[in-house]
Amino acid sequence: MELNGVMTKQELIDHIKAHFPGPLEMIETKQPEPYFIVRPEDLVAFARFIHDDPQLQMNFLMSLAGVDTGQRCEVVYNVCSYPLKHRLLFKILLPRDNAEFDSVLSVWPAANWYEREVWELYGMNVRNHPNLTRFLLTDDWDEGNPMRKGWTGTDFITLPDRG
Amino acid sequence: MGIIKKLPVYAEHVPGGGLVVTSINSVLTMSQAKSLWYLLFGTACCAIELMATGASRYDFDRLGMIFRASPRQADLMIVAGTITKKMAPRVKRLYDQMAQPRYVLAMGGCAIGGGPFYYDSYSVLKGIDLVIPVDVYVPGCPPRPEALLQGCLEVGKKIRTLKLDEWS
Amino acid sequence: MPGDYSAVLIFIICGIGIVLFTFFFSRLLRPHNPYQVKNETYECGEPAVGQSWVQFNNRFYIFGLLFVIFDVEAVFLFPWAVAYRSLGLFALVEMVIFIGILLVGLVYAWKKGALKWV
Repeated sequence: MELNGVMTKQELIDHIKAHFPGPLEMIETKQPEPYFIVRPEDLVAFARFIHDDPQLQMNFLMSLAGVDTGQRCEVVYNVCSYPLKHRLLFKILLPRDNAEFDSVLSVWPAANWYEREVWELYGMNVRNHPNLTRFLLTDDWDEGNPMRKGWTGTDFITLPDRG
Repeated sequence: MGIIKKLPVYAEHVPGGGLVVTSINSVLTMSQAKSLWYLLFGTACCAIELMATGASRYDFDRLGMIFRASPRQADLMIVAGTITKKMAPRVKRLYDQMAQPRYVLAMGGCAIGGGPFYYDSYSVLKGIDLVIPVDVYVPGCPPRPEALLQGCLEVGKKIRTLKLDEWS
Repeated sequence: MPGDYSAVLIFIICGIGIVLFTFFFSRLLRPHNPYQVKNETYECGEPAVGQSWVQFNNRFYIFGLLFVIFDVEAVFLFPWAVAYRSLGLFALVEMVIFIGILLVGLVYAWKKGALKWV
């Protein structure tokens, strides 16, 4: 599926690499959107850059999701641009213990509940978030962070292996 | 409440009293069974099938069943959809707010026993009968509208077996 | 004739009587089992918060006003309708003028948009 964006994938990659000062890695994918890996320290700067740059104008945060691969934690951001109709994926890599990252609320206010969800289900602390409270799980939840690998709770039954 | 619960005891002493009691019984239970108003309680995909059953092709209204949005006006609660642990106290409260006599029909796999979310889920309640008493279970994921209609007819059959002293 | 009004009295008694009969008869038949959660105010499964007396919006005043006016008009139409036969042409013309005046008021309210649900 090709996006009818103003810039093609390669142009996007070149533009971002040329203008963003921090180190960026690329992940090669067959998808039409570029996939970057950003350092956690550069997160807000990168977000502000792709939001404000007149040739990128990524003003729509489509989703923000946490990942726990067993070895490390990640947070994946999916953004797109309404006026210029192109998309971008980027993620940050975090260690499994004491994972922390900055909130991108100042760039996209939509990140509010997404970051609360990541905090609640993965246990990754979000710095500068105004309201980090539990809202998805039940009121008396005391069993930890359910989306972590290897989590079990009182009622949790894993699918038995079928030989 | 009712003299109606004590009627069988007194009617025994009267010749022909038993006949009166059984006819009253059958009139009351049949009028209930043929006019079950159900509470619109659809949470997930089974709610779509519930809506389809209420629509024109498989009609609920021909069984006398009309949907009511408030539990005060409903006597059948069709629990259609996945119930999470966060939703369970609300289901219990809605069931409590229904006026008696009240019946519950668990529709679909999720309401019966957690359905496809029985394994590997931290938030789904494994069956609605952990919080409220269920009368009829309609299996399926989601059950076909004909299956749901059959389930509602089974509730009607169950109501008709009730006796006056169990009337509550 | 005073004797003709006995039918009205019987009607009134039967009307009230049927309603009272259904109330008390259903009392016999229904279960009575109140408990605390059952008697609480319904709020879609959550414990009820706040008062249920809300302030009605000002826009409903117009509908109340129109209703009162046309209800009073109907009250005036009833005795005219009952005594229509014996009143003759004069009463008919007078009543048509009365309805016409109120109709002009209705058309005015209509054109002013008072009947639109805002």
